Amino acid sequence: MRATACALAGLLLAASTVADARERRPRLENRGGVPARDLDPSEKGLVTGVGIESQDIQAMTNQMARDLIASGFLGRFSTPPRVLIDEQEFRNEGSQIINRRMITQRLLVELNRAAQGKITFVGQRYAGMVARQRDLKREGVTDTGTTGLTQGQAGVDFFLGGAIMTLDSRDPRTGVVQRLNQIAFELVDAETGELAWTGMYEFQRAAAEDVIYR
Amino acid sequence: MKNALAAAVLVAVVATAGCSTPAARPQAVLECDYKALKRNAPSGGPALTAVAYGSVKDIPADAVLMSDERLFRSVIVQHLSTSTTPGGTVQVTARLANCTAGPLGVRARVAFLDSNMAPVEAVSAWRPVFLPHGGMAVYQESSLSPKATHYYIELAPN
Repeated sequence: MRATACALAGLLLAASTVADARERRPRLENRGGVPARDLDPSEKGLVTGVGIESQDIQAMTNQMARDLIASGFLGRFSTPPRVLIDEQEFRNEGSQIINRRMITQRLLVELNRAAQGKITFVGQRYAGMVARQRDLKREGVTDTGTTGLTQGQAGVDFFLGGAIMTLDSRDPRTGVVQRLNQIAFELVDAETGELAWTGMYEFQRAAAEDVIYR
Repeated sequence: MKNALAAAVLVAVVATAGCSTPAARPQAVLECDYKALKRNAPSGGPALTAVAYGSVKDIPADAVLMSDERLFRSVIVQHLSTSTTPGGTVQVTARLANCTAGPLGVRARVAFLDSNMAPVEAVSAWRPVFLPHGGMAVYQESSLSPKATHYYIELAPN
């Protein structure tokens, strides 16, 4: 009798818990929230401010690749020049925190696709790994591979330089913030320091409510 | 009589020496005439046709495709041309006239096509174009590929 009463009480407790959970569920839903969705990186997103955003990264790298190919720079060489494109000399002097490599890496990929073998890109980021592989080959730990040995790692003819610069202003009365973003790109002769090509992408935006970039 | 005629001609020549054709007036106000656009726009030429012919109305190649009627009524393509860049690629130039009563912001991108109207490369990134009130702006973009033979520019509100 006592066991039956306990079982019944447990059943009632479980039933009420389920009922409570059902009642609570609508309250826990984030009805006013924004569900995850796929966005086109070439368009403005849901969170936008006055700084560099996805559409700007796409636009600037696309424009710089087109400008460089159109400039006739590649017509000067009978052998594809070796070019280093990474973030080392591409500096962030602006007020926005940004991963510079998002720009340089996309520019590298765009140029690599467009140049169709007319530029040899050097991956100096991997110099340590390349040195290790060279040692393994020369010590006989591995064979020499199929593409042969070279005297040294690939030297660079040109490297990418440049800077992200910003000019910020804010109206304390209205809270409107405004930012001029200037992104300069330079292709520098690694032997002489001459600028073989330059490009500039700039835009200005204003907004009453800025967002936090991180 | 001969002398009088010669003098009259001379006076007329001198009087009109400072004049020229209306197109070369020293100053002017931008005016858009959509009736003239309809009347004088070149027709025919290459176009992008739908697989099921007519299901999508032919899109003229080497032209500007406006995203909507409102934009069509706001901008007139005053000049359209192509040139070859020093790198051997194709550069398109479109000069756009602002036909609205204020400044106008649009964005543009271009798709470069081969002779069969197939894309030779990915469409370019959108770029903003700002047209001042009563003025014009130039949109220029160059291809990545030297194989581009046709193109169409897409114009949309910014």
